[in-house]
Amino acid sequence: MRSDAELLDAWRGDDRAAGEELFTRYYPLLLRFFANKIAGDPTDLIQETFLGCVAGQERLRDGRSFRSYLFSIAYHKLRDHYRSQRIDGLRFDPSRQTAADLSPGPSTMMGENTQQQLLLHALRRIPLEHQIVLELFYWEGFTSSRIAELMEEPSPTIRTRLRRARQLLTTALEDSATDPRVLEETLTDLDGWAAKIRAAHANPAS
Amino acid sequence: MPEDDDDFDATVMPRAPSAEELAAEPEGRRIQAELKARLFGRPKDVVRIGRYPVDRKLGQGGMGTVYAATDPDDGRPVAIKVVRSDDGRAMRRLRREAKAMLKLEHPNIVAVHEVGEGPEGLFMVMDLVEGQTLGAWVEPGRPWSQIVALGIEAAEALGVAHGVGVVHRDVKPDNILVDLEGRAQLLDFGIAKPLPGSEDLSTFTEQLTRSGVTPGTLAYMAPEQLLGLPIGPAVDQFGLCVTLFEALHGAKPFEGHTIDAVALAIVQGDIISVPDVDRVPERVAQVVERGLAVEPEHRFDSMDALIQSLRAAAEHANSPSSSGEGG
Repeated sequence: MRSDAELLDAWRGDDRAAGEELFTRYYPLLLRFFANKIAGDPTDLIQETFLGCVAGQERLRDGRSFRSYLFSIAYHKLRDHYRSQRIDGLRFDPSRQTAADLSPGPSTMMGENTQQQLLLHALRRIPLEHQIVLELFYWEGFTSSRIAELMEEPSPTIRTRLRRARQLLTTALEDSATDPRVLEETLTDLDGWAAKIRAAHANPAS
Repeated sequence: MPEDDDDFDATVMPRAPSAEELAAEPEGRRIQAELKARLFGRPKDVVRIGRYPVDRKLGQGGMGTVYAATDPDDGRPVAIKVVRSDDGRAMRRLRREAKAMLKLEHPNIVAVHEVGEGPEGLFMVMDLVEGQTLGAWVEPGRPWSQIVALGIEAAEALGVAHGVGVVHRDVKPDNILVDLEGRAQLLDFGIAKPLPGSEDLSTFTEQLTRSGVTPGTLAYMAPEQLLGLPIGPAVDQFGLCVTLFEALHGAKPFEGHTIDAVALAIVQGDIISVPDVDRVPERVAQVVERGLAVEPEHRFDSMDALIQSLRAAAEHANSPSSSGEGG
């Protein structure tokens, strides 16, 4: 099996079969990356990301995998996408705006169960750069220094952001359990309140 | 694990949804085919559900995904709803009701042409209705008389469904479309999963959780649904009357800042007071409120009875003798 770096080189040399093989390897990961961050059709962004890899001049040095190169481009394409949109005339600010602010509407990604659904929902409600750091760390298995490299920021900044992101996610999750606005859009765990409602109904005096 | 792990509860971070599964869904396959055509000049593989080529994804809800597709026989656009559940009993009921819908023809019901099953799950092929949801249609100060007329059409459709043993269970503004001719078109019959009617609290809440109620639906759910009691056609009357109340008065009848508060208001029948300046005729408002009764037996006996009362109230308001009412 040819390595990612070999396939990329071949694709840059106009070997389409190599390009297709590389595309097939990484398409699912990019689909997941974008599906959780924009509500619309991610086709264009995925295309631009792959084209960005082909157009790039960078050789994949030792220690830098194609995967982190790919995510670095995907991250920048996502930023460009939101910059050009200028939601509500505001400047794009991934340290404040969340995926839910930037791309309202139900996500195309659905959790397999209620718990998962709530968690994914909370994830879209923390600032975008915090969401991305968490996903790259926990879902893609990148180290914080690798994330720093691909987001082009200092390592300590990323480590601080990772810590902060965990706090924000915990808070967002707690909020989503009682916020009717959240519940409008997602499945909910009805355990707690169903019991309360039944109790209240049985004892109207209480 | 992070080198600087503080008090982070690892269960808080969602497990990664499977990228392979996402890519294997009809939408994932459609995008992949599109990209292979764009990037590598491949002829575009057609993604099908059953024998229907998929054009694009229209939307996703708690219960399933809706695609726009094309009928290969006549090129007509269709909507395909795909529903999947791990609950065998729920799936059997969905299948049974979807098939009952096949036989239902009514000018106010979105026709179901085919029910099938594939790797994606149970799918229903329906007319693709052009129009808007009742919620959007009602927006700019729609006169009460038009809202009542539309409500009567929806009630007629529900009455016909009840006649063949199908309870909608999820009547709400999003499930009532207004087509380009201004007619009501009811959608998603029998799609909503039933809430279990168990008296045992522990199994009740467990099943309720598993049945995946969409909370957007909560505000339109009848008390007996919320309480897990046996339900019948009266839940549709309740849902329709919540929808009409909201359309007429511009506010939902049961309010609260939290989900618990809304649910409590519903089971206790705490209807908000509507403003004095409300332009809705008193009698019309009274009919709608009767449909919101906590006890199903205090609502109208049937959709027909509701329709007759709505008609009578509207005619009364429009008659010359009732000055000061009407719009």
